[in-house]
Amino acid sequence: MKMHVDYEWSIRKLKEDPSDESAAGIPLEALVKMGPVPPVVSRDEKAASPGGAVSAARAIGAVGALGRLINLLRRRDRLSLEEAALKAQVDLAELLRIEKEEHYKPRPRTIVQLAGLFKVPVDQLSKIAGLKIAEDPALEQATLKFAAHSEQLTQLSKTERDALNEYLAVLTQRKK
Amino acid sequence: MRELLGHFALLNRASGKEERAELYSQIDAKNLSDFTRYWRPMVAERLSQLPRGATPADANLQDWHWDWAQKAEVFTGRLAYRSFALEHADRTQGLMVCSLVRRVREKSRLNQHLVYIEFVQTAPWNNRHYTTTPVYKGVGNTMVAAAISLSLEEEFEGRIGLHSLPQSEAWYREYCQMTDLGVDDQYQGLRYFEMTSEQAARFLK
Repeated sequence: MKMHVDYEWSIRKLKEDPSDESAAGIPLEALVKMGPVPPVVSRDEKAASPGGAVSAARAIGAVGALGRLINLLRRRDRLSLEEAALKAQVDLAELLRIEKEEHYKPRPRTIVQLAGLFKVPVDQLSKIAGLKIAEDPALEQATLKFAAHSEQLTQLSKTERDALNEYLAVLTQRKK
Repeated sequence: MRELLGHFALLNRASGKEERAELYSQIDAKNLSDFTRYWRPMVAERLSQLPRGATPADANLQDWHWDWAQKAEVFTGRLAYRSFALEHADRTQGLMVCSLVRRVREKSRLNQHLVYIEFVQTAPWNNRHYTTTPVYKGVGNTMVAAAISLSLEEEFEGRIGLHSLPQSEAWYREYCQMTDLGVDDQYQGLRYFEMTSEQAARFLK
């Protein structure tokens, strides 16, 4: 990523800034009260074993990507939520949560059933769902692009259909 | 992949001189270790000094949409997020996590993509709410510039959004010239702000 400002800019800004009061989002007090931070990859571990178990522990799933993908596949196949849940033999409430809740993590069985219904590789769908971990930059990029640019419309637009087809092509290519 | 994005100035409030801090594109274990070892005790100490019932932002934590486990996934490279760390003097001076899947609420660009700042914090020793002698100034400028740069790189035209903590509202409204879209009842009653592409261009000048 390229920064669009430089060191000289930051010096100028220091003189303009009256207070440097920039706290936003979750309060520091809340972060602290949530308890200890789980261990993550250290700099040394990354350098020493780039393909190792710890450094490979990256969730592929973009937040919202799974829900959008399932939503588009369902609409592509002209299935209502109820019809899709019935055909896949999954719980309707869980299917609804997958489509509506960005952070919802579905059960493995549900992913297997949905992969079967929509004929997408279960392994890749599990990664998107955050159930499996892998190091796959190309799939990450494709998932991010898909998550960032697909829309929630009643009918699939040409743009949506193109985005869906492009993403499905990446998923299929990575089927192992 | 973690990457050095550049050097940016922090003002040492004691000496009155600028010092070079390093901005990195991803929060890593060292930053989280700093959080645990240095940030956390200072915040805990400050909280313990407050009168009973006067704890700021003592939110019902179950209501927050993240927990640490989810954040750890973010920190280790979850796709729809980008994290940043500003380091200097062998300490993490600021942390920020941004999301790429939120949409604009402001009418003129409704539903366009933006970079949403999930949280941005300066180290407690730089924050006058935790110490009477804050050490460095300038973390916020660099982090907002990073969020805008990310937005430009993602072709979101510099648009950013965030929920400001109460003590920072004036900073975002008056200094950053962001648009105040009012109190968000869905987000702990914090005020929501957005920066348009035009406002972003002015901030980067």
